[in-house]
Amino acid sequence: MMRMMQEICGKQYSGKQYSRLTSRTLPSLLLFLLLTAGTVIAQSDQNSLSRSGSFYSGFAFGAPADIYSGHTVGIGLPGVSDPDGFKPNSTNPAHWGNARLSKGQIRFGLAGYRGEDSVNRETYSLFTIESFQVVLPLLRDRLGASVGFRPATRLEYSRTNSGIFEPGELVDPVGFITNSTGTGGVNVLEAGFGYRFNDYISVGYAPSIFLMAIEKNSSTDFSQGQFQSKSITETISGHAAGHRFGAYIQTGSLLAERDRLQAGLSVQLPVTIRADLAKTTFRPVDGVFREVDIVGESGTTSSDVKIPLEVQFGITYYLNPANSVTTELQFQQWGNARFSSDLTQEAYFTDRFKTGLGYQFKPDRTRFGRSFFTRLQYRTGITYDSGHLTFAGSKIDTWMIHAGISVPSPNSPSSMDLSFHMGWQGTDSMNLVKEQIFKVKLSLNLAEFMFVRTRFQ
Amino acid sequence: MVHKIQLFAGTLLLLLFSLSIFGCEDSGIVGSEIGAPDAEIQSMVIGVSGFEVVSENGYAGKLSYSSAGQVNDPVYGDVTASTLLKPALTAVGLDSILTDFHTMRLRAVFDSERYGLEDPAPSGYAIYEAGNLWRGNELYVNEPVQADLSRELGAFSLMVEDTAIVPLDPMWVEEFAAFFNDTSDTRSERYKQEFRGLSVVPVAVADQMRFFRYESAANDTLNLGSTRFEIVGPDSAGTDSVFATISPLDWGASVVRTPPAESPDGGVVLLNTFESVIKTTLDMDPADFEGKEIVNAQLTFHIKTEDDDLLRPEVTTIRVHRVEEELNETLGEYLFTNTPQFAATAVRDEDDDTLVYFNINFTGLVFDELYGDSETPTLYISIQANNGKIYSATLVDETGPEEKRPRLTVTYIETEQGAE
Repeated sequence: MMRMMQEICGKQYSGKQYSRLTSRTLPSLLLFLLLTAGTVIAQSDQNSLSRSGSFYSGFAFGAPADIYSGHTVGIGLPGVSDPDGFKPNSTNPAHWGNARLSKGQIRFGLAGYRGEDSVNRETYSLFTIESFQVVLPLLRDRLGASVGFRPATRLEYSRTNSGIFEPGELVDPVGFITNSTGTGGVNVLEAGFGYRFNDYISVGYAPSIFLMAIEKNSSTDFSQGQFQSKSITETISGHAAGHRFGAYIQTGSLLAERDRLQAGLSVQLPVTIRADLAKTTFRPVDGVFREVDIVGESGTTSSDVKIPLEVQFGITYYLNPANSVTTELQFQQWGNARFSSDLTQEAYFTDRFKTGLGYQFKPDRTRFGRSFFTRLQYRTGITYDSGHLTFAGSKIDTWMIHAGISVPSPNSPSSMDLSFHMGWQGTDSMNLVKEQIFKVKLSLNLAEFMFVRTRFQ
Repeated sequence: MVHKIQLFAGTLLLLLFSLSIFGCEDSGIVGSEIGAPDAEIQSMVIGVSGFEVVSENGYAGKLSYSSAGQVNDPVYGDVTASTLLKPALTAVGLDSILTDFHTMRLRAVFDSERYGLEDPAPSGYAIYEAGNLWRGNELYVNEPVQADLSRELGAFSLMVEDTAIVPLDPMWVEEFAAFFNDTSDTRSERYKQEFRGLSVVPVAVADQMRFFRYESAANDTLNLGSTRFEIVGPDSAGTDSVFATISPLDWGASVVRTPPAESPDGGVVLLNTFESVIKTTLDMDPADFEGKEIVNAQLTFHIKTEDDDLLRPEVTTIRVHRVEEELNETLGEYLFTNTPQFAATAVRDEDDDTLVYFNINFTGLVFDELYGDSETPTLYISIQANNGKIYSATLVDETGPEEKRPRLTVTYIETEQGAE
């Protein structure tokens, strides 16, 4: 066992050295993850360093935020069918049983959008901390536990609407401009277990808490001073329990001696949140400005938000340890989602599916030599996303191409994944918005031996 | 170590490259046509009714103007007015009036705005001594001060001129000079108690009312100044010239309207003399505005067009006083001494420039009424200022033509868009 771990780490350590190493790295790793968690939890109002995410994230409670395993982000697919021994996989709880090392991951994303409709064109961008996860082996290669934080939906938008309206027959027309912004979304705090029955079958279950925190603000100004500028802030918050199940099977030597076929399934059950609704503004009453809760006045203080069923299924085929092909299908039943505080926006929901094909190449160093570039892993893929919104019959679908590399640490199983994504979303016909999307994602994957001191002593 | 540096440098370069291509500009202008707007602006029109007319006799003295004339107004009643004047006891550059050397005259300066026929016949005015003592601050409309018609002190005729110069009776000037030249300490008190001043009375006037000015006009291009007395005498060349001017010390008008103006069908009469003021309240139900965030509220009153041939001072302003509690003074005193909380200028017709309606910004009042803690205030609606001129107008009320009835137009942002 000790030899195996030393080989994995690529460096020879004595038992004492391991003990010293883990005692130094573990506290710093945990501190790092705690700080990261705090940052991510606060993301509902702070994660936008620049201005705005996708225009289409501004409807209802945000656009679905896809999650990826560290390595398959480079092919644009979740990775439910492709576990990695050195990187945590948040997409399929079944993979958590297949853990020899303690693993942690945090991912950053920078997205840029060039949006245009039939009249206007603009550019906007958004920096986010996307997710973090820690997977700990409880029984090595048998039972593993995971704690993670990930987004389910994300809402980051800024819209401007201007025009002229006629208040009445005898009141002169008035120009107005409304700037609307929104931040937040639904985040998932998840802790679960994965169990590996044998070399072929693994299953997993992850209960979770869905945390909803959305803030929308619309500020309207008028061209005539006697019309009062109005800023309305709407907050929607709540939480509910969620459940996710995963299964994974693999088999080898099907078509070739070293080939391997893997299949994974992940099911997230629908989650209904009875969210608290507050809409506030300031009114000049009796000579002073008072903050008032608009919806509280009408007695409506809650909203039903239903996050729909999600099913992810995928197949990965390893022609050999160096070359693999992955295809996965992600289905979200958005046609069954709910957003009762705005039925107009709820009506835009439609079932969403996303599929794609990806290729991974992990160079065989015995064949290609031991240069820096043969240490890297290369990935590329293409995906199609039908989108979760439809406007007058037009679906907001997305085509994207992906490319990524894994850069392993020279002296540990930790690694870094860097990926690039480019695609097109929506259409500029029917006054809709067509967005050209550019994304860069950086995953830091930490893999360490933890809690091993007692074993080696 | 070299690999670590390469890795770090490569990552940094990639991130810098990424940041450089992700610009941030503009302000969310794309997609503004998609779906419901974030702030849907709408308006609703609410009929306004419940007007009560209250009467008060407004001030008639020490105002910017005083009226003199007579008009048989078929709508607002017959109005007769005499101007009362009392010269000051001081004049710049003049210590005493030498009655055997000086004469005294009244330079009456009139406002260009008239009340009456557009093309009047010559109007005859006579100047008498007032019949009794009076004080400008205590003059009220419909509380007349009679003239002593036994002795005419001067007379003039007027059509549309801006100025009339009227020599005053020497005997009266002598009586005035006795006070002017008096140097005793009791002069002022005796002047107040004993000197009755002048009364400019319409004697041969047909539907013509003029307004004496006591302040120079804003556009006084002819340098007319304001109403004043002049001391005249021969100069060194033997030609009569003005030695000094004497401003009025006190002034006012004796105004009587008979019969009182009555509101016609479909309208309510407003008079700036407080003889006719609207008293009302704005009753609004907050339930009607749930989910509506108000940004503006305007109360509209249409002005009823009179179809006679009288020229009336133009009513350009409407005023609304908001009264929270019981008044400790008369309504006239309150309306005169307090600045209205709401006011509006009349909107003119684009074609013929006539005054058509008033839009009063009631946004603050509506907020207080709907969301405030205080009791519903009483509103007093009047026209123009009580400034000595005689203004009158009829506003269409809730029984008038439907398209001209008073209405409150409330503009709001719909805040419950698509809610269940």
